[in-house]
Amino acid sequence: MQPLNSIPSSAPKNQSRWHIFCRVVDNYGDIGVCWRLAKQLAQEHKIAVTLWVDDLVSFNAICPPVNPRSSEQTVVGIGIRQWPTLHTTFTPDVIPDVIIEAFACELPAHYRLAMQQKWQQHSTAQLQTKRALTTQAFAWINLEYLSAEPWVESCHLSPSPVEGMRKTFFFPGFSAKTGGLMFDHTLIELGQKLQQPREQQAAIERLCQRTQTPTPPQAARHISLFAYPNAPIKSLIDALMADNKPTQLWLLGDNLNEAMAKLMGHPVVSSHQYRQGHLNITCLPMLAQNDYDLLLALADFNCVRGEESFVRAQMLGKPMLWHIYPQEEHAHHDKLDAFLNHYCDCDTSDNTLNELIKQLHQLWNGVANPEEKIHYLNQKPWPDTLKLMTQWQEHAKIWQQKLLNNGDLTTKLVRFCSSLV
Amino acid sequence: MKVAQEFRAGQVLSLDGQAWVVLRAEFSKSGRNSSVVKMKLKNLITGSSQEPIFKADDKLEPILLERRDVTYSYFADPLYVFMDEEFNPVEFEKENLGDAINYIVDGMPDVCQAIFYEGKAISIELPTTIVRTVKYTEPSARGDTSGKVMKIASLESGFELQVAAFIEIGEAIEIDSRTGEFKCRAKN
Repeated sequence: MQPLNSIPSSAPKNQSRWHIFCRVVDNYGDIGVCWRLAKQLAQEHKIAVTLWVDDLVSFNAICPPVNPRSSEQTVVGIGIRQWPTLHTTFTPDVIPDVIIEAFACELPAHYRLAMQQKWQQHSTAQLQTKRALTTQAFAWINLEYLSAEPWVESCHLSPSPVEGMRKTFFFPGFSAKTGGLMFDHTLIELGQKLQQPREQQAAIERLCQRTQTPTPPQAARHISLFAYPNAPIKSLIDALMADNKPTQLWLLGDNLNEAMAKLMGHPVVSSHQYRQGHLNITCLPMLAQNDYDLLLALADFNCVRGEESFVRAQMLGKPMLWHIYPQEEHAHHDKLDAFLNHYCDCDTSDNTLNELIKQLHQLWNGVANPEEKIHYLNQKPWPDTLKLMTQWQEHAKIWQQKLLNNGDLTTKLVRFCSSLV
Repeated sequence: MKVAQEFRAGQVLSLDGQAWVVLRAEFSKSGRNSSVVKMKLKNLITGSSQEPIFKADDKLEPILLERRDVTYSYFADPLYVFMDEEFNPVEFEKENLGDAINYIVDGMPDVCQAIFYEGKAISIELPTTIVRTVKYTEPSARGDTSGKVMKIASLESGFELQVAAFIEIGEAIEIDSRTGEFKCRAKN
């Protein structure tokens, strides 16, 4: 492997250089967030970005132009590198203006060593000029997970002294005292555009063409469904089958195909569609990030999971149901409650709707205790939800506006890092 | 080395070559089973403070401080001189005494703990309960012996605190040295 000190020099001298480090733990959320961040930094803020990834195969799944066998490549102007091996050489010159350690992934030890050398060089140079230490050699950011819990506000932008250097924890969040959420205006515009029936139909045809899936029949309602395997999808399917409105359900993920096959009593495979009364189900293959954006934007209601699609669905200003990533000791229950408190607090004019949103999320995430769960099921939250969809749509727009007012994460991150270096 | 989530208030750690006492450590679960610890730290030498955050499994260097029993001996302006069990003087400047300065009086019998970092005495800890004499307080209201009504009293050091209304000048009282609160009338 060649030394890397030639890479950053490819950027114009006064152009800010950033490195983003991403380890794919499971699924596609980590790389999904990092790739969006990289694109927004490069396209909107004209920053020279290098994205270091340990799993190019997963990256390729959400971004097909990425070659999983190439350890060094450029896609839409962004440098993409395979996670450094022990043989990768780093010198202080390689260290850029900003280093993003996504989701507390540990940076390679030899990279950190080069960081330390650069930090010391910078400190020494500043001391020699007998000036106060006003800038850092580089900004080192730990981009944290998204949570709506109150403690996030007090931890956002907190420093972390590490090996003589200073790292900063940057927390996404739902209030102005956090880093906000990642969004770009093309997504907002896409959502607005696809509210027109003709544009929506054109998007459906485009999506089906790209995924080699049959175009579904006209439907009065489009629902996308992306969830972890334990989601209680039977309650949703039953409600949709019993409803008079023709519904198109877009199913993502092989794990849900299996659950659907159990419900339907026959095998279910990707790129095929299945009809059950007024309900048409299309099983989609793995979608690239742009295609999933298209699906979220054309759907009237989105069932999303994890962090990435959860944020996108909210920023589109549409009703959505969140399947939260399950954590040890049910820590995700507190996180779900904290989010629901924010989400339902943005418009308290309709308590029936707010209560329904909470119940539906608790049911979907298995939060309620067994007795409460029966209580919810007896109340049939899905039929009630389908009836209140117009009100939820209005609620989602209010929530979207609140999030837009908070500002976008990438711009906040750029501003903060600019203040450090 | 210890991981960040193992540190508790009162423990001392080394950061950037300096010793910091943990005043507060708050643990929060972040995402995907990772966690963070937000701490409030006070520099043992300069007294400055900071509130850093760590990943729960970040490794930090603990500092085990030397402690020695001492008793107060005399004031040699500007130093407060204590003696250890072998009659070695241990000197403190006023700012290193912290809240203990409120209770320093000539002839105090308390066995205190002097805390040393790299051979230098950096702070003193009094026993949790100390007994001091009230130098001045307003006369008590007749018949009020419940202890619920409070009034201000001053000690020989000049420190003022709230005491029960029935306490009178010259009486010995028990004080919680950690909080500075009156506990009760001293027993004999």
